Amino acid sequence: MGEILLDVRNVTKRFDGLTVIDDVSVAVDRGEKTALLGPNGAGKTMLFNLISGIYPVSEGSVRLGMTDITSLPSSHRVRHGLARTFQNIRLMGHLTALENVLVGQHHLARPIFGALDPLLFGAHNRWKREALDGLRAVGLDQYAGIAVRNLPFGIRKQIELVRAMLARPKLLLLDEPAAGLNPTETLALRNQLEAIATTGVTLLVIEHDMQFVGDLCQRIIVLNFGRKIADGSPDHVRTLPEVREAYLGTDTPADA
Amino acid sequence: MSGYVEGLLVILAINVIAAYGAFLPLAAGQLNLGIAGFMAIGAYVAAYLSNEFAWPLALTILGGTTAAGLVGVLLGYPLLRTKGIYLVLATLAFGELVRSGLLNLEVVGAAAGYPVGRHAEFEIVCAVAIAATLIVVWLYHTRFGLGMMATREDEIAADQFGVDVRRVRAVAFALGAAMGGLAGALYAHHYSYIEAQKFNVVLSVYVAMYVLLGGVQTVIGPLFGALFFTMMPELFRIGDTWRFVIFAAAVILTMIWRPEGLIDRTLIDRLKAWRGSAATALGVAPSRPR
Repeated sequence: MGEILLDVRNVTKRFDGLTVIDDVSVAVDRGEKTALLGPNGAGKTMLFNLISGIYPVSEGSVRLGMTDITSLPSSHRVRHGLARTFQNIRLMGHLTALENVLVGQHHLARPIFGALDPLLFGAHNRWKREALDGLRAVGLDQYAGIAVRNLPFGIRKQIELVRAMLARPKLLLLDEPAAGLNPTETLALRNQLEAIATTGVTLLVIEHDMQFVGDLCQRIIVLNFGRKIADGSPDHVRTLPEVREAYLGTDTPADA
Repeated sequence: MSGYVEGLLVILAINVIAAYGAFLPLAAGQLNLGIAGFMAIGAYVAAYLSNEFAWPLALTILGGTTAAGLVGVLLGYPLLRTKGIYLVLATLAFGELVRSGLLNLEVVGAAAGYPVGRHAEFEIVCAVAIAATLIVVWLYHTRFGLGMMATREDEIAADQFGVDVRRVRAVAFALGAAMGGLAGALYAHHYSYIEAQKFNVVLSVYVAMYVLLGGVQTVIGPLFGALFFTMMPELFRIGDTWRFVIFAAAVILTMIWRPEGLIDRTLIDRLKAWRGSAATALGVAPSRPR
């Protein structure tokens, strides 16, 4: 066991009477690549939203490294090394690809002078250079000046990942990064995520593509009805009857 | 320059500043329909400082601007707890509150209006309008400007990447309020007479229209909107008594053809592409993406 980076402890989330996350604990080690699986409505995205602070937890705690971020405002969490992507791509549609990825660096700018830095003028601003380099590294610099809503789905997904990486995260939460991608794009994404992981970034990935998950991740956590029902290596998790039941809705073993 | 053109340019200059006052909160996704209230605060404070304390012109204008900005700061945080249509109603109510308050305030003449001792020349009003425009253009290109746009486009995503959405909105709102105050202060000093009834809901709606019709996606949109609204009724003078009917029709048609405003990003992109291809044809390297 390495050093724990993300420590979600006994987290519960209730909306009025409805419990959507029920006493879930997840510990992710630094540098680990972990997948979060589960049928639709199992609470995977909700768990991401609780970690990143879109919703406050009802009970339990979330720690990132040495810091307890449970009650930290959501906009402050990125400073502690947390960045994410979204299930339904949340880019700023009218803004260009470059402006979108510049948002990723937002928390790195100094409070007053950083905010008044005229970064959208000229080509020599250091933030802009860094953002363009980020786009260039994945071959997207040609789209820098185009409003993202005019770009194809696959490109937008990549831009979202570049934006998250420009926040210099320690932990990257990816919500269905491979959804809607063709096999070539999926392979490229896997290689890209492997490369990101080798730089020391910890990955927590929600994904339905089992091939993708099995190739990328050493560990799988399965949620169902807001509860954690499995946690272990891909091979181990695949054999668990409760996981099969969650996915197939039957306890009759199917062929592996 | 003829008196007519000069008079028109002064109106345009004041309208442009007021438009930027409405634009700043809108750039962050908030519609302020109380801009006339802030203009009134700017106008009356500047006039009062001028009449009662004989402050120099620059200081009274600064005073009016600051006063409106401070009210914007005080109002910003509580008001921005409301959203969408409720915020619009709250700002509308604020504007009316200021107007009816001034209407009953004897020290500034109440319903009789308030004459202003000092006069701001045509050149001063225009110079201030140009300076104000340049400041907003600069602000729009800063990281704060990016934060405003990001907030308008997707506040959750902006928040997740460290944009303090509430603060960005409050600051944009307060700066817009100050800008409205500046427009009011210049108005007071140029026309040498103000009355509370002038700063009514119709004025707020007009100013909001400059911005919405000009377009909120680019920083030059409000400039074009103010230009359109100020100049169009003049151009339609040939239509005599029908001119406001023609003008209203022009506004409706603009909204049908350009729902995102006269100037939007797509238009700017096309112009850039056109310039780029023209440059390529001439053997010059096209401009880099911004």
